[in-house]
Amino acid sequence: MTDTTKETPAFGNANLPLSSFRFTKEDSKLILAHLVFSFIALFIGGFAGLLQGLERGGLVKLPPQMGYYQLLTAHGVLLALVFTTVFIVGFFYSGIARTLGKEMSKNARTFAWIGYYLMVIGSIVATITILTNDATVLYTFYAPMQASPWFYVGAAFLIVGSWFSAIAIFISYVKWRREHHGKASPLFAFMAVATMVLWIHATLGVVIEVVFQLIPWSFGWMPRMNVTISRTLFWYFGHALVYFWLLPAYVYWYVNLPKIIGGKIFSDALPRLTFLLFVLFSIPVGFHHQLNEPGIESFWKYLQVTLTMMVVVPSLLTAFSIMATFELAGREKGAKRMFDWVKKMPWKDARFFAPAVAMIIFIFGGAGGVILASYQLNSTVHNTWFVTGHFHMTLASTVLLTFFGIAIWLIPALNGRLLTPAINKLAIAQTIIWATGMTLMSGTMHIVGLMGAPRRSAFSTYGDHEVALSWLPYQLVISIGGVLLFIGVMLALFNFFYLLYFAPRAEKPVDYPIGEFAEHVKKPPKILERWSVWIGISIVLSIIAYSVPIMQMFQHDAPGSIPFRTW
Amino acid sequence: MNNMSDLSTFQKNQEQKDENLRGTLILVFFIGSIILLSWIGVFSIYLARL
Amino acid sequence: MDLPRYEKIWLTFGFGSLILFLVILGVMAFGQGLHPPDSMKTTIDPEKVETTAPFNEPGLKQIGPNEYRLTVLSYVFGYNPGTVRIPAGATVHFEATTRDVVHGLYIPNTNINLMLIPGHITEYTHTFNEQGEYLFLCHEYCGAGHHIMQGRIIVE
Repeated sequence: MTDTTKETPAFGNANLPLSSFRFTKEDSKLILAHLVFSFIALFIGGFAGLLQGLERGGLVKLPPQMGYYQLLTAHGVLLALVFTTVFIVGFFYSGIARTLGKEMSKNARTFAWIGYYLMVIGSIVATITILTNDATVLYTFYAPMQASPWFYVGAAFLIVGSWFSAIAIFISYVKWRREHHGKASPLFAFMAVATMVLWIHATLGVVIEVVFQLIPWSFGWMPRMNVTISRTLFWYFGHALVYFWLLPAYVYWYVNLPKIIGGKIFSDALPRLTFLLFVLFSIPVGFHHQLNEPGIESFWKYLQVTLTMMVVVPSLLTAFSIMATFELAGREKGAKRMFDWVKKMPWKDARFFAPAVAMIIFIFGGAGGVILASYQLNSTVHNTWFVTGHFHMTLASTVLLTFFGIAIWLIPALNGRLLTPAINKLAIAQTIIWATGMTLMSGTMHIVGLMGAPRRSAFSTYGDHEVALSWLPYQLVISIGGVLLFIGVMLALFNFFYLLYFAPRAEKPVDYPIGEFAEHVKKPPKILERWSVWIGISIVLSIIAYSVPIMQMFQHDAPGSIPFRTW
Repeated sequence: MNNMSDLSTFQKNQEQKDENLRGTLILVFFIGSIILLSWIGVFSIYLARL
Repeated sequence: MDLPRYEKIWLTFGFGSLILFLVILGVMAFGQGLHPPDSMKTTIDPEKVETTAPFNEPGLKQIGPNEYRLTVLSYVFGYNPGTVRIPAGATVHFEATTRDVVHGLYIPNTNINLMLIPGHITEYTHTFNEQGEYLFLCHEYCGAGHHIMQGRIIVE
């Protein structure tokens, strides 16, 4: 923005931009609370990931009081559910405060704090049940394996807490729009609202599963429950969850990165349309996680496969739009030949480098995703390590590296410290270590998955069967990749805590980068902000995709399941 | 300035803009080919295992 | 909407590829009957599975010239039957279920990739042309012994 000054100090190949914008104390406190809690989850979840990775590689034998599947549950719950949700909410608050009137309203902050404490309490309760080995059910908690009821209560708190967070965002958004009648909302705020709309719609599925099935069943108030319905409700939520992780990364790419690379956002309408397509198509697609199970008619599985392919389209749009932003910025800086603009990008600036590497990895993540959704092809890879490799490239690389790239400037922007050149270099090294570790781990997982190695399994040679033995060298490579990734987590955490408590204080805080629009950009059509229309279509699509199959599940009336504790 | 020349400036601008995105076009097609090739790869594995 | 012309080209290509995938998959599915495993017709009470036909007698039954029905009951942490012998070229109709939690029945290097859900019977047909000892294993986490849950199909 215009209040940006380029003073000091030398930073990467550019000067570190400082800004006169300052978050209010209350907002800083709120957002930092979210970031810190998410980093604690990242640490525990990452450590659990390291241990189970070493066990699966056959490199360590776990002590008897620490189970492989218990660690795997902690890894999944703390990283995929807790870290992501809390970090995303914190990041959104920062952009909401920055773009909607410089601070959050008092009302919004009240909801935000309620949401925060609900999420923290829920996470802690769930984590305790995992640590006491009463909830070794992995983060998908498929019935009829039954965890302690408090695990499900914790999960419910986490989700309901995030609803309060969503309300805090909605309040800020509605207030701004009321005060700026007829104006299009700032892009960041629009995208945050779209993501939270998607999140609330999606979580309805898992909340119904948890509140009406798992909780009464695990407290013993209900002897049996229908497993197919519970899985269907879970995946109603489960695939949209993936987009809930991805969209905040897209927000950063669309809104913040153009500023960092010195470019302009070339369209105001297109990114909004992209996000609306996600709102429409990321929910009625859950069956592509259930393609190989009985009780769902083929026709409906195929229909949801078709819708899954539709949700690829906004990502295709994003790939072009983001790269076009880079190219236009590079050409503006004088790049002439075909790919000279690539060299004009600030590769030595970790705020750009981390998400740029994230984007490259996403090419492979995306390719794997299209394969997984391809109906019959799912039989070749379903529940093999291919799947694990896929979501470590998408969530644990594309999303996570982008979040790391966000955290290193967001923390100093909040607490008024400096993002020092040393930390910038360390963050670049961290990204390289991460990419290397992930290539070794996830790349190998894809290969060995195609060779038949199952996911979510402790070390086993299956009675020394030759097929299982052929996986062993790959498992070793995977473990080595896992060790590198753990080093990457530790480095990232070192950076964050240095920036939190030890980095030198700045007179002016680090600039909060918000991209500006190019001159020619037209005002987005009003229809894009008519939420009733988009939410309406989203609900209709879900009804089309789900109502008949769910009705069939009730008519079919498969006998319910009593609980089992098999660990 | 009449409408005609307005239009031609617009077209020229458009062409200029497209010209500026050649690199992007090539790179996205490169991404597309990775997706296509890996899909065909797993598809043939599926067929081989039928 | 400010959509650059090149972006339209890219979108047409991308969307076209996705449609092409869908057409290929759709023709294979609804033209040739190549679906992932499903089964809508039968449900079964997991608590009475051992006294309900056909799972009261799991195992291999010949139903035609080199054609078999293989009834598999899964449980923590194994399968009944655990080992099956069939001649090369045999077409096997799998019907499988679980007595307790969700299990999987997966044969690496084949497309036999079944989810076994309590209350349902999963069906799938496959022809074993090549001789060898095929490993089948559980690929859906089912508890502490998940990674030892396995069996063999020996094609002679």
